Amino acid sequence: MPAQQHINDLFKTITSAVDAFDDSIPAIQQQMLDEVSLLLKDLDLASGRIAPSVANLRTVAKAQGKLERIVIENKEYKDQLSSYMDDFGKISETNAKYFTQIEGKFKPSSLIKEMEKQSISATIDSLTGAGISSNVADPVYDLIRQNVTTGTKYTDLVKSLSNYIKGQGDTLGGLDRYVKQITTDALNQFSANYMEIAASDLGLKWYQYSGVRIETSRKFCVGMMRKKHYHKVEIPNLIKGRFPQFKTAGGSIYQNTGLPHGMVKGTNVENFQIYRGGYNCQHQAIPVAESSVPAKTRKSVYGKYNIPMDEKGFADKDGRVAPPAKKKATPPVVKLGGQKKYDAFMNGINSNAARLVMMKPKPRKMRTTSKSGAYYQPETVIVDGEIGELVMGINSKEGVFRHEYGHHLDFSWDLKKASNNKIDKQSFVRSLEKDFVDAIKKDDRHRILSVSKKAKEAGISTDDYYRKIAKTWRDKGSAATSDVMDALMEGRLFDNFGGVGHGADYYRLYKTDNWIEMAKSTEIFANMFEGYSTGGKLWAEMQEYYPNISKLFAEIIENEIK
Amino acid sequence: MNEREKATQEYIEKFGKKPKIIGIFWRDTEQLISNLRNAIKTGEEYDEYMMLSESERKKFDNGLLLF
Repeated sequence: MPAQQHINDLFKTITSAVDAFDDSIPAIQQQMLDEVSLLLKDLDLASGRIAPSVANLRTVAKAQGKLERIVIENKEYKDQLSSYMDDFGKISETNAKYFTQIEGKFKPSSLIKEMEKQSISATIDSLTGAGISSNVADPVYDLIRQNVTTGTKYTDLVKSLSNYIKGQGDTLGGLDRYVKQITTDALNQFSANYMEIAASDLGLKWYQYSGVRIETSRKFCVGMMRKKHYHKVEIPNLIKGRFPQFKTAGGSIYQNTGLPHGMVKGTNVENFQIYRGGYNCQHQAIPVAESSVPAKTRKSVYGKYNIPMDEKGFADKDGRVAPPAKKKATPPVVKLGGQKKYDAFMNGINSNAARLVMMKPKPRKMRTTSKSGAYYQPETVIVDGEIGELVMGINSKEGVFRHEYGHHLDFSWDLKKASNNKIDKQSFVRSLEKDFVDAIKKDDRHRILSVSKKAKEAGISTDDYYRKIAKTWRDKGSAATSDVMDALMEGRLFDNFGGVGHGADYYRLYKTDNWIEMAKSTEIFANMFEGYSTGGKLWAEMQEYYPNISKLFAEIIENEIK
Repeated sequence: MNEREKATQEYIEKFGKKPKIIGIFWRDTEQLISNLRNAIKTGEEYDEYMMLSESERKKFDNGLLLF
């Protein structure tokens, strides 16, 4: 099967899967608007404007939980989701058929099967629960809340909501936009991952860049389509736009990323086959047999890169280009995860937090792993103005990302002040500054006094009170609030009272002299960022239990983004 | 006593000491419970520090690996 036919088959499967899902969206958006409008009829008005009252804020709060349910409990949506997930199997079959024709003995490896499972799981996560909540329901809720607190005209609010939910003119509705991007990227990136692993297993080094040119095709993709075939050794030059067809197509480099316009920031040699031209890119890099590449092209590339070849332009198998390393039979990192989680994070946090994040350098690396758990690894050397690696379990929820990103902000707060690209950890960690440490001490005293008082009022021991409050936070999912208390108690809320937290071994074992104080500050800072950027009930809860730290934290952020 | 505490108690009964928990799974209690129950089943002690690679342990020891 020629590569072009393969890309046609893939394109057909992917577009029909995306279109089928997309067809169900307008009706769901209409239903969403109808239900929101019904809820808003209860708002108190004064001269046609929404009164910024407590009663109105309560009405708005009622809408929050309902918005997400309208989508994910919709029967049509659930049916379409289930049908869409079957398309991963179809993509697998199409790819297997293609590679069998290149190599008769080809069989999908266990790595491919594991990657398929992970891709399906990540996609379900994006199209239900947290993904819908942060990308679709929360923006609608924020829009309503902002309009209520500013006393907008009721008719203007209804119009804004209609524009956001259903879209207007060429602008798609919020759900439509989100679902279209996820469904398109998920299948394309799954297919690209599949082909990348299969190419590695079969030792294929040549690719054909294929797809359908549309009005919005990026210049990079137009150039690559014209170039058609490329060898793996060319990728470093391709992603810098250093090839004639890119220039002929009018392509240019985006200064902020150093990559051709439209490419996902962080695209590199390892992930280029997965990200290709960028989000919503409908082109594919199809691995092809060396024999299917024109001799002229082969000779030109092998000559340019000093790859030994025979007189017919076939590379010497013992030549200087090493065969691809066999991938370990361990579950792979799903490469689309880190950026997706970052995008969901940015869409989900409030505007002040988002502004702060935009002002500060991003982590040098962000990735997801198939393992559970998450961590942030600061670094002491600055590379290209960035430090830090943020690693997330593939199924980790958004709160975890916010917490880990809080660590990153803490450690990268003042990178500009560092000299010789070296960081003095003690000087640059924002949470170790005196005012923050003092606020922690004050709230620790506040904890001891208020728990003692509340326990007395409830007629129970302080230990029982800690147990009770730990259970309340556990049941509510207030992990960040609980973890601050655990930090103040150096892990005892976790160890002794069943609370959510890092536990005493985290604070007390294996570390340097000042580790306990440093760990307390950094964990509290990360949790504060999670609370502040989430807002709502979580932040209100933190303000109640940790009045000094939360006040100072809000001031720090608000001063920084002024 | 919640499920995690029950699993910890069973662990202590089996091994005579507390499991070494350094916070890797602090946001995923179900995973932690499953890990503890698995340790009880297999008889292998549970030590999250030793679950880290050698280089990660070095970073952790220097306060450069945060959960």
